[in-house]
Amino acid sequence: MLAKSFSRFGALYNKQMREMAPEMIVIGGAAVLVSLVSYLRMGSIHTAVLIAMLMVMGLACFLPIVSSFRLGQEWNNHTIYLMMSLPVGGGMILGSRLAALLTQYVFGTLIVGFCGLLLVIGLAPEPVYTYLDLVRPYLDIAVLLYLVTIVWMGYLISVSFFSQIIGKLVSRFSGLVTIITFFATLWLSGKVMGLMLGQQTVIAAPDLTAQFLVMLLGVIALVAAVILALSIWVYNRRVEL
Amino acid sequence: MIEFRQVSKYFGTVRALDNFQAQLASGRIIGLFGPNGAGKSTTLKMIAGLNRPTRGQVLVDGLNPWITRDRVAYLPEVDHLYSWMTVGKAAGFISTFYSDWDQARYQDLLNYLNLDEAMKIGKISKGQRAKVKLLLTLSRRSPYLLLDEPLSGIDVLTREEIINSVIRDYREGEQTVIISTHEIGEVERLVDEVIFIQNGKTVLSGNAEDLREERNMSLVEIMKEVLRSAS
Repeated sequence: MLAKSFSRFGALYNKQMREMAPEMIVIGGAAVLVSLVSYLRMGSIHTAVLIAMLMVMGLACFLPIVSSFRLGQEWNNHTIYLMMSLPVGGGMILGSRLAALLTQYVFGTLIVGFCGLLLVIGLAPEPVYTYLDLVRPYLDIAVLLYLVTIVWMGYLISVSFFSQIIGKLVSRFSGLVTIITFFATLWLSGKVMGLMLGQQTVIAAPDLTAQFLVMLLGVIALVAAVILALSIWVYNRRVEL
Repeated sequence: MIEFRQVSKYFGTVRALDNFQAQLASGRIIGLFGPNGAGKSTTLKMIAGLNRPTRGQVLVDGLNPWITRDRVAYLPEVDHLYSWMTVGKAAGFISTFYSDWDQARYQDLLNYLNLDEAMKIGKISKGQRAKVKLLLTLSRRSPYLLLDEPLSGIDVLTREEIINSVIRDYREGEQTVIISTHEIGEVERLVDEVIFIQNGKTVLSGNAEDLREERNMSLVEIMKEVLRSAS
């Protein structure tokens, strides 16, 4: 039973990954290209190099959110007939999609980060090990911060799923309903997260201590899980063709 | 057995089914006939678990159709396959979800329908896409087979191939086949039972042979007469 579930999840995940392959190639290609050009042309860590790498990083962060809105395309392409007739619930459909989008995010950010690191190693005026002592105390915070961004991405994707599914419940103004639900859910869940963290808003966080980041991680993960569970419930109980 | 218990279905203010009542016996080929917008597709989508009744109840083997989706092979009217997939990839994907997938039958049908696993779904003709849809539906040994307008917009030769494939792979007594179409002439020789439907209501149903004998007419003529008198 478990093996069957895994293979079904794998089939849905692979399908999803195949659909996102062009975007992942673009991000990877852009990161490698920018690094190579910067290394060969600039010869030092120039502001232009930083801006270019930040832009590619922005693309890597932005694309999974754009891709998450492809769920609605299943209706436009009629492939929703296939997805809904499969003997699996919304948990597997949305879960595999979420997993694939997070993979896209992790792949994109890691490849840009890796290229950036190679660039630093190649272009830094001092040997790279001289910076290690400088960076070491902040490593755990950096790792936690990265985990927070992954969970944050999961939260945004869940809100995107939820808003699209709500949008598909109405036959008219589906796009408008999707947009309104997206921003309303973001606003409401932001308030909830703020309350859970004991602050007015999430953005007004104090200093980045490991303890705070762990708490932030937990709160975002919880809110994202609730929104995803709600999306799954609506998909299973309310969505129809 | 499939049962519709006083099922009504509304899409906004549009009524697709109106107190629809039917018991579809197992192991038969059933024709669901009627004009465009009669409620045929909605009826099939309800059996496939893709639509829910606004009122009433639909039962497949006594269960909610959402639960019995693994017993139903559904061929929708629309092109529902991913255009970037090849025939082989689509078969691989679908077969993962159904324990009744029959690989030998799939290979056999692939040859019979003159299809190739390497064909990309987005790049083949409409007729070939119709055959691919049929291939992927018939490759399962499912107890229920739902065909929604399988011949719509298809040339004569392909229609014949499709009908022959259904006849060839039909497991009499074991499998229930429901064909929804407004092109009755093409499937007349195929069906055991018929349900004529108009405005979401059954206007006539019964054994195809008995109806033909009673009225001394073909099913096409019967439908014309029944629908004329109903409207």
